[in-house]
Amino acid sequence: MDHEEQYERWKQSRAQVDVPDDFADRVMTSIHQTRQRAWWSVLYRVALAVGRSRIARAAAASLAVAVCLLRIGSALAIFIPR
Amino acid sequence: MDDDLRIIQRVLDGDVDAFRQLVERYQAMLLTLIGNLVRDRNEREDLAQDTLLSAYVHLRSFDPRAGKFSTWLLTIARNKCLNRLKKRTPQPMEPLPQRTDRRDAADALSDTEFFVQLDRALDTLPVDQRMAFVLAEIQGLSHEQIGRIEGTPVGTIKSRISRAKARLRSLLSNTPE
Repeated sequence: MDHEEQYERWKQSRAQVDVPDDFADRVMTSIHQTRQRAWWSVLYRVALAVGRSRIARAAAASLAVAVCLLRIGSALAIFIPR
Repeated sequence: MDDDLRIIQRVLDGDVDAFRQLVERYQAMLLTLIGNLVRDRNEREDLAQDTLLSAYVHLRSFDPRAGKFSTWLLTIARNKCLNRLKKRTPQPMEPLPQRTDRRDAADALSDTEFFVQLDRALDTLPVDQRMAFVLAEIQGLSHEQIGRIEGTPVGTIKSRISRAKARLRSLLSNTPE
């Protein structure tokens, strides 16, 4: 090439890039947001699955009743003499 | 490479912020590749950010036996650029500027003008040639690495690069010295 030196300078100029100072911050923010969204999405999908199945709804209700009874039992246990 | 693997392992073990080291290490490399394929600055940064986010999300699927982390990242960036370029309305190919008036040396092109012409010529290359040219000539990757990124035999890569150079050379041969 006749313009070999200019061509080399052009390649060097194309290889130089301005990286914005906050670029890494922006990437990390988007990663953290994606993680949060993924967590909420898992919860949402579990809630949807429970809502769709009658058995799952019954199991969730039974679990809630059991937890409730357990809590009442532990509260009343304070008054039972040992 | 080993250092990359150590960082990747930390990220996979739950230290998300360790990923920042990989971002800082490879951000310039990604922005260089994408910047030579997509001219718009905002679009370029979006694509680079998207590439790194995808890398984080799919980090578990990275196989160090298949190649370096940097090669894997460039492959993701390449695919994202191709998708973005396909979605765009095809722009009419601008003909290369023809300069036939060979006058005296005082007319020699300044760097700026020369660079603009080369930029324009680079933009008119078919995407596969442009990609191979940028990876080889501007980023200095080996033909084997480019072959892995493109999923193409080395012979094809060499031919793409040589066709790209020939096209650029044809521009240069039409410019006054």
